[in-house]
Amino acid sequence: MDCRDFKANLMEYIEEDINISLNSHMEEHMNSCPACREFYNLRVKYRKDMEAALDKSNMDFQSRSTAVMGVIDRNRYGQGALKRMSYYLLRNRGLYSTLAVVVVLAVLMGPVVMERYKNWRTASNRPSTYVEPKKEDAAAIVEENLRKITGELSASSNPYDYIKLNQDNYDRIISLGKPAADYMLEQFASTDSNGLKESIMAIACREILHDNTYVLESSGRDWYNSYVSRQKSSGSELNPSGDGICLNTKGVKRESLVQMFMEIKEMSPGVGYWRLIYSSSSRMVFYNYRHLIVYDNTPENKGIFRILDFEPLNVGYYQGSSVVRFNVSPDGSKCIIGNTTAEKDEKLKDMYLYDIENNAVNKIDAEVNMNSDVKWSADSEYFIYSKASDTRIYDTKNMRFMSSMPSDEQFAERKYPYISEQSVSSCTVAFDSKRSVEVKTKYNGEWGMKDSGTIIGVAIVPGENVKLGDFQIVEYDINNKSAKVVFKP
Amino acid sequence: MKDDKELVKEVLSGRIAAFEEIMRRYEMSIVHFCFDMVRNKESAEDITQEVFVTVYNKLFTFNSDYKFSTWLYQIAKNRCIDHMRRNRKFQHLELMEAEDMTSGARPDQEVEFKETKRAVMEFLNTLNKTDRLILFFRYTRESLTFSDIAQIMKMSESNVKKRYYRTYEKYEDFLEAYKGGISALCKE
Repeated sequence: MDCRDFKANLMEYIEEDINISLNSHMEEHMNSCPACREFYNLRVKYRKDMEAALDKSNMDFQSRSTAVMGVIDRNRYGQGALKRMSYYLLRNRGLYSTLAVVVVLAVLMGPVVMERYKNWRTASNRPSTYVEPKKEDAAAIVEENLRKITGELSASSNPYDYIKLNQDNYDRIISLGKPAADYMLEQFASTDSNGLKESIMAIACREILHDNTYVLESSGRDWYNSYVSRQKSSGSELNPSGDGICLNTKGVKRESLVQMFMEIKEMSPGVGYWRLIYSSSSRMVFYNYRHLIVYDNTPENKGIFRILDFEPLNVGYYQGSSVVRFNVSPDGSKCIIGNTTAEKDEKLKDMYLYDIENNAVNKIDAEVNMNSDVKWSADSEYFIYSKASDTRIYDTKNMRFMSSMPSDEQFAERKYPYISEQSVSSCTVAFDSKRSVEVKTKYNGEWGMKDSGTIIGVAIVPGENVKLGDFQIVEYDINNKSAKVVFKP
Repeated sequence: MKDDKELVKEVLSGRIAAFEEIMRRYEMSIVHFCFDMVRNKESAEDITQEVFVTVYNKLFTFNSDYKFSTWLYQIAKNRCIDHMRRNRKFQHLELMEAEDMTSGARPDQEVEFKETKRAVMEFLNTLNKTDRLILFFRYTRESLTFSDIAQIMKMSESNVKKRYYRTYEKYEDFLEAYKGGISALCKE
């Protein structure tokens, strides 16, 4: 440890907010460096001065407990059953209102859900040896069933009423899957018609293509036009693969990531933004209340590289008294997932190592308070952390604990410049302890450094009805003072 | 000794004596904190009284997933801010006569101690409201942890620490300027 490191960690040391290993390095340095010892003594004196100046033990304050006990309603929390019940009702009013909303929703939505279930059963009843029909066969079957659906006269002009009357024919089209959708899209492209047939085709296409995006549409053709324009914007520079997932997912099934991300796109955004925990010139890692996303920001493979659903892990929650915590290795290849508690009597949960490259999660330890620092070695092979009064060193390559750190290992240094402070639409980039710049953007999100001249952030796409998947990656060029969206899945 | 949450439970089931115990435990801490905020002894006592009446009336809303003391300090902080808003200013800190007492110290030590206190008060006046609050919370009788302070202030723990540590760097700069100012006055 040198004098600069000593000074950087001094306040944590004085406040006893430091891990054991660093603590002993601090003491060693202080014993060998008189200047730093003097610096330490001065800081301790300042702290004592401050504490003494705010000490009020010599002052004589009057107790108001008698006055308080005189004015409060002593029967407020009496033993009466009625009083107690009203107190419980009031205290749990959030829960009761949620229950009431759920009951009302169940009554209103029940028939719709049952209908969907019936449809799903029909689709899933297909024999397991099901072979996807050829395009020509699909075309004939779709045409025949569309003719039957639209041929039935109904008093209503609502296409859903026609479907209801001919549910079996509609289900037959849906059961054909993608070849049917492809044929119907071709039909849209080849004519300008916009009648009942197009409305039914639009409904069927949306179901087959899982296109749940809300579109302000009044006819089948409106949906088709919106679908085509959305397809054009995806697969563009902002979303090269079209589905948000990078083309080379290196050992992980692309389809499973696509499926996971489709679910994320429909999920509620929860209480906060995506939290950025790691950024570099090639990778970003961010999380929300349930998922950790690893984004590849290299030009040749831009897109989501990994999605980890951490709900099944025993690590706590996004917010609350037991909170999930993450710590990414300097090279961005591994992430430690653990938790911390806000309550003394709360039990700490487990600690896991997520190997991002191999998409593998392994439990490392239990009852570790991740509130204290986890330090990575510069080569991202070892990490060191405290458990109660114990210091533990873990070798990620050989998946085992070590009795001591290999002598040639160095701790990872903090990279400069770095984001020293941030709110949702601004942040401060510190170049060193003397120079910093404040950056303001119109994008609300969280920021990190991509390289020495570029800030990179994960920001929420502005608008109403925002979903969890509605985020975008934004880059801000410090020298040109300009920001642009670089990825929008 | 019963812990805070047990006492809260007892109050909620009608045992009023448990509330007296809560007051005994926290009244002086809260009055000291209020005094730091408003710098007036009587106002601090009045606010403390209001705080405990509020605590009693709202006790059923206390979420036992959190620490009772952080909830209590949060109410005290809000009450003090209300009081300051009513008086339309954030209190300029001055050394009060009542706290300017040092017992049993040698006269030269007493002079030095008073001088240090004055410097600290002057320094606190240079801080913004948030940094000042963090210091007050850190030096409460309970010595609140950074995590407690973060909860009360609704900030991240790392932000609280960063601000607290930076305050000491500011104090060092302040002292240099302050001592320079004092010695210039002496020469005149």
